[in-house]
Amino acid sequence: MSKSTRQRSARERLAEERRRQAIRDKQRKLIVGVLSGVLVAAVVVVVAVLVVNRSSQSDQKAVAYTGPLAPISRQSDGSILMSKQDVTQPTLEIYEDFQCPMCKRFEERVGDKVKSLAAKGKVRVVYRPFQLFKAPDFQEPVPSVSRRGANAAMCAPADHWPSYAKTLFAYQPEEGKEGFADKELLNWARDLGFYTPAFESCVTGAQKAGDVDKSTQYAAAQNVTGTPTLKVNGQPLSQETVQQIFGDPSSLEQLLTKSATSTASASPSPSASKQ
Amino acid sequence: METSEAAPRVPKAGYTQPRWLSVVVGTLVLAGLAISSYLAVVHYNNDVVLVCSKSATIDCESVTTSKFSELAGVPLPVLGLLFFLALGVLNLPFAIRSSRPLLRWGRLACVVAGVLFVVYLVAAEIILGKICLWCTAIHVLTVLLFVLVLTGELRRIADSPQ
Repeated sequence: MSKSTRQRSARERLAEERRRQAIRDKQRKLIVGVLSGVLVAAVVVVVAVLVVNRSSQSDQKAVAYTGPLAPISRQSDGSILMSKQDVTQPTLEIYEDFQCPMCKRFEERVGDKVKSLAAKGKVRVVYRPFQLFKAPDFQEPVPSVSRRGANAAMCAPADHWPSYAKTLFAYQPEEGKEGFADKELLNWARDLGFYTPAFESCVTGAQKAGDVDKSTQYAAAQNVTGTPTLKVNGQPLSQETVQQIFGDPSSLEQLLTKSATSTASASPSPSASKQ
Repeated sequence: METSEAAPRVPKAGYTQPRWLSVVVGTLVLAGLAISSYLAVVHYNNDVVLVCSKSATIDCESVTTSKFSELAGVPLPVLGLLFFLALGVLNLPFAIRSSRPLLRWGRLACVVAGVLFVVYLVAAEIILGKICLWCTAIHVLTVLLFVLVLTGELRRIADSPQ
């Protein structure tokens, strides 16, 4: 091999080595650039998810009812029956509107007591949510909030009623302010573990609006003009009695016991009251 | 003038990706499209049931209906569908042959975005304490596509004239 050929061969090898080195450098640059970019962006994404999660949680987490409960079922008219199977008397009907501040107070002060009495078999409870606040008597957004609350409560599965109703009252919008947005109503269902796409459709499509209207008409037919209205065996409790229950929830138990005794003595073979 | 030594390599008409790489990428993209389509249909049609085993930690519905299931109001399955569609187009033979930076960087940007969505959803699953098997399948496909597209780009660099 001549000297010039050897020199040419060495130059070629050097050139080839430089070319390979340049390729390796480019490849290394690309890998380092892409991976470090992904790493930094991933950290940003994780932080963003955590921040969004924390801010969306805020104080709007659903409130679960964890106390004693009697079996719950939804009746054909949309009302909720909470009663032990063998209990036929007395029947306590609660007419309520989720936008009504007094109903919220009733739930806060007496709600758990009512549920516990039903769980002990001392009363049949029928919850009758309806839309008390209607246009044109009330200005928007009050009627819409009231209607959305009632619709969502009717969309919720019966066994989740205690927690969902409790949550609706807990986050009741201030009268005259917007609230019960679809997103909140759905998030609460998620919190309580009963969210389904069907529930979402029911809420966003106001699919129980017909039942809300029927309940509202029924309440009007029963001369219910305010909320909360409490009826024991079909008889409305006076304002004074309701106030007394507000002040002392245990008085409800005495009232119901008295009512059960008087019904039993008036009718030796009681039958279930028709709802 | 020397023509045989240190001569610039003649630029090829276009980069040719190994066949196996094109086939694997194409298969993964099609699988991703199929899964994303299914999840999108389930999202919009309540009559279609999401087939998924359910246990304390494995629960597809809890994830696909969680507050993390939409980004700026767009359901994630739809974003997944767009991702796989875009990646499918960017991996068609004409796009692979092309050396246009827009297509090359677009392809890389696409898989990087995909990996970031995987990070987002995994973070969401950790927060929720639930794992969605369909989502996991999408995650695996996306990470594999990221590796394959990056591999393709490294091969392209090795193949390109210096």
